[in-house]
Amino acid sequence: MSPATLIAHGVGGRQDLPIPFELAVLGAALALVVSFLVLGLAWQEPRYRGDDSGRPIPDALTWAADSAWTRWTLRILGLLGAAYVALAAVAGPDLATNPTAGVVYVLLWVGIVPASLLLGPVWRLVNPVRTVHLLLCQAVRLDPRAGVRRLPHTVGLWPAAAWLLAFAWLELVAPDRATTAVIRAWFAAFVAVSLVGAVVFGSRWFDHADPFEAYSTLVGRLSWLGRHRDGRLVARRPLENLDGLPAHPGLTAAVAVLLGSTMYDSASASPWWARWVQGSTLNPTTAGTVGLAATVTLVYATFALAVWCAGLTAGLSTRTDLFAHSVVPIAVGYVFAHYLTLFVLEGQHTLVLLADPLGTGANWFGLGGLTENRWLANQATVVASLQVGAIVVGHVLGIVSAHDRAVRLFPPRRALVAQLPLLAVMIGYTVAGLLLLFAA
Amino acid sequence: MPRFRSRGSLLSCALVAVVLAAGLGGCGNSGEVAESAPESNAPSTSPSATTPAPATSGTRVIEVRIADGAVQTDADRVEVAAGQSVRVFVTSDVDDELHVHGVDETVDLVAGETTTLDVTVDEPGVFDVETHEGGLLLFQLVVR
Repeated sequence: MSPATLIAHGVGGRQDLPIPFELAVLGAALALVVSFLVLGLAWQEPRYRGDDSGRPIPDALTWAADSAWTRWTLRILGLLGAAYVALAAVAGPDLATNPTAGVVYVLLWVGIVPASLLLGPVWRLVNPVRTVHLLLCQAVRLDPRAGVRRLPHTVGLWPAAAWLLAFAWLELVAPDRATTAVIRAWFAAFVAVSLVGAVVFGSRWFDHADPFEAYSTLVGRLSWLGRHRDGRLVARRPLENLDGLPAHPGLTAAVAVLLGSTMYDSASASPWWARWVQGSTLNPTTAGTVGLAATVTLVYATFALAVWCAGLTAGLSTRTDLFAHSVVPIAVGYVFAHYLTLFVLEGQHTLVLLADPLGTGANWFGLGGLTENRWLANQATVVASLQVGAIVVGHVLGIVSAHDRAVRLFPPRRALVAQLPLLAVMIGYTVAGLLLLFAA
Repeated sequence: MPRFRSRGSLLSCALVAVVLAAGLGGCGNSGEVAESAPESNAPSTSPSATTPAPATSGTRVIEVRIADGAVQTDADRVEVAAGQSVRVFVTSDVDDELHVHGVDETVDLVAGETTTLDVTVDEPGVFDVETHEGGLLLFQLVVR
């Protein structure tokens, strides 16, 4: 046998203990009570002003953040990081000791969330594919923003939603997904399609199609840092920031993938899912593909139905994407609950593995000397409390965002009643999340 | 303006209350987890009659049969205390490889024979016990 098979079904060995039943019930009860409190007591006039809001941070900071020097430093760091991991992925041994899977599934995919919460949409600043396109354009003296064709307005975030789903499939379903061969193949296809898209439609393609940029942009809307309509960097309340998220077509699909794929990840780690797959005639990849697609579709359909009902109750038609921003905090709460220990424990482990990308016994940058801190693995109560807290806080932020949007869009008399379908579907997501933490 | 301020603090209060309550709920429960640990220990001290080798006291014994790609086991989830030794007897109708995910204990399975795997996990968590070739989940070890 080869040691590579040791992590044949993904990164990270242990899963968190199920949360105590009492904690799950407490979380659900809190979510329910706070939801109706918000509905009954919160403001009845819209408060959030999106990108018009915020307090300017000192001009010097905006200038420093936007200076060409900063931008090129970040781009070069992104390129160097990508080259380092590509070296491990291409030239390193395809074993459990290869850092590629940990970098892609833990440091990148999970790490995007805390980085974007802290500083906003940061991935677009380091995105190595964007930089490669920029350098290619500069080499042939073309404007990177200019493409051969205009990207139709109706495209919105649909390509990003599709790529997010493709990445979720790689992470959660693809056979041998922790091997460098599979990760290499996925990224080769992704980079090729991205570059073609950028050449055809200009660098705007990355805004609309890059799954990591889309993820970072969505989560970054919960950051304290934002950009005013006049271009200055401002400090603003996270929910006001979230209110400024443009309701592009496909936004609902993108958030449904984020929430649905995390739900599927929980559910598919449970013994009852494994028994069902083993008892069925489907092969595991087909079953996983169906399960992932079904979960994402369920989230999308329930939310679209809730917004449709809300519009019906309010007596006007509305677009689902106008409310989709309110699912972002719920998805982020889920991600925090689901990946907290994985990020802390496997993140450290990945850093250690990065010391020796080629499997030669090297200790580059002294990373191999790091001692992994396993404290969190022994804190079941702390972890369970943080998980439930994150889910409930995400739920409350979602309810408040939807409330503000409802009182803005709907006639005052009907705005409250019209929110009930949204409230119901959000309580559904939250109870489902708590159930998965308890039972899966 | 004062109205807005009061609404803002309402939201902050609600969030603080949620976080506190979640923390309290977790704390309140820690006692129960500690109490229930010895209980889950108890049945493990009596190894079943079909056990080929006598297990040491305090060892949790689990028997698994694999036939025609289907898994037969007492429980999908087996609860043990951290540091408690676990002995797994696996009888498979095909050659395969038995593996405890996250602990990296691996042992070969030979068709028709009963294989024993001893494992002790010191860190709390849920660990999959699975086969490599068949890709079957035998059960989950829940370490508290």
